[in-house]
Amino acid sequence: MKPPPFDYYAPRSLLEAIDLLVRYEGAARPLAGGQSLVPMLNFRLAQPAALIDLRLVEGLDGISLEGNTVRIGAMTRQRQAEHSALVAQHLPLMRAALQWVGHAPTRTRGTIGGSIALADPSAELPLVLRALDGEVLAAGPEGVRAIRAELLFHSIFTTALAPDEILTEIRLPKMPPDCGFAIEEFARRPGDFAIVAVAVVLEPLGQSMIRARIAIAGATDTVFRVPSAERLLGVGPLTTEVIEAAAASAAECCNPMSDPRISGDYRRQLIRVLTRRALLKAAVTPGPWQQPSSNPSLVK
Amino acid sequence: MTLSVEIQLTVNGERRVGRCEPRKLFVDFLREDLCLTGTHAGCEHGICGACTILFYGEAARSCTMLAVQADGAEILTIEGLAASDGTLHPLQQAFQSCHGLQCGFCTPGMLMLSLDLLRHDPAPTESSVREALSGAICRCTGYQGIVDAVLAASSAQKKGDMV
Repeated sequence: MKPPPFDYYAPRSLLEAIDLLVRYEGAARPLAGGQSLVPMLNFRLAQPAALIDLRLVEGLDGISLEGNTVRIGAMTRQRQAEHSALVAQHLPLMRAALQWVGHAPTRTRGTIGGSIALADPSAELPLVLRALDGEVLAAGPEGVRAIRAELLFHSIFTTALAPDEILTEIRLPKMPPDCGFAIEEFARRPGDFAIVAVAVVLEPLGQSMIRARIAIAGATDTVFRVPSAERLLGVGPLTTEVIEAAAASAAECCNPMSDPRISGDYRRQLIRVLTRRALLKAAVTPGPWQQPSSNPSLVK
Repeated sequence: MTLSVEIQLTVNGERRVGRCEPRKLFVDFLREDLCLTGTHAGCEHGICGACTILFYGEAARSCTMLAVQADGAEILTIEGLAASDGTLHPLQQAFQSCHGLQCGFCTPGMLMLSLDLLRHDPAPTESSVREALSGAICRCTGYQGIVDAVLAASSAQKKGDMV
């Protein structure tokens, strides 16, 4: 249970880091917090020729607000985000999701960018990026490009990032203060990877119109959204029947994976239950999704 | 292959220097190079929590860190908990009084994790203690005594002892 040998570099600039990735032609891996990569090295599931440690690269961490966008440096530690006032105020879904990410000691070291770049299909931070329609910045030999969440995640541990690109920043539109949100997850033990996790955001669009977003992790080879279920939630109020229909639609829209311990049918059932719970929880926040009967003056 | 890297860091308030292969885990560096064997290597993949140390005052697992990632850092290990004259830290005292250990293998990790918890939440509820300690595993399953010890240390702290 010890890592295999590798070349080690701790460059101080992004250009230097990219140069190294280019030079190793795909055989080098960037090292962020190491909370997944170091265990993978210990198991020798990963045997990179070189590790490019990003800890000394300038300008890769920190959280700031620019207009309506929260910018999170890729090397920002998960724990730093968990305690960030900006995240609490503008990205409460991310704050809630971070409670589900590993344990406090892994969040001390684990980074926001590392988790997203790894693209574990059951991880919470890719789920948040997808639920909030965020994007990431990737720096490579050709320069910097933005990749939208929906185009980033291809499959298990596979993203649109090229082997010589480094994820440098996560950009998330701030959540309106009057939106409802929730994340629900099921895992066998606290801190385990989710068997299924569901994130929900309900945003009032004026009149009784709602913009609903539902993202699911753990069920297939990547996080995904469920437009068919989201469309059912476009107009308030959201009755329990409508919520149940959306949950059923979410459960039917994919083909959940089976593994030796957890069947696809069980995952499908979890999608349905967790989507319903998340929607009910999100709908506790006052908004057009609530039924008029919750207004006491209308109750006879 | 990079043969070795130099590592300078502060451990328990003392400047230490070492040299090791970049693939060396921080827990092994602490134990083998700095002879600080109080930190235990358990599962070596970040699940059991036995190797928990404080990295700049925050609990972290030393088995999912390369030693070189601790270059320049400020580290607290179990050896830094008791006073130099051997007086137990209030948390250690509480673990002793409440029978918070049996075989003792997980204890260094439990103590470092509890220290992080009490520094950030000096008056935790039982459920938040259990939530925090879910990041560490005791195979003797003596969790009740461990939870009691953390709660007792928290009350002792309220009475004026610093944790």
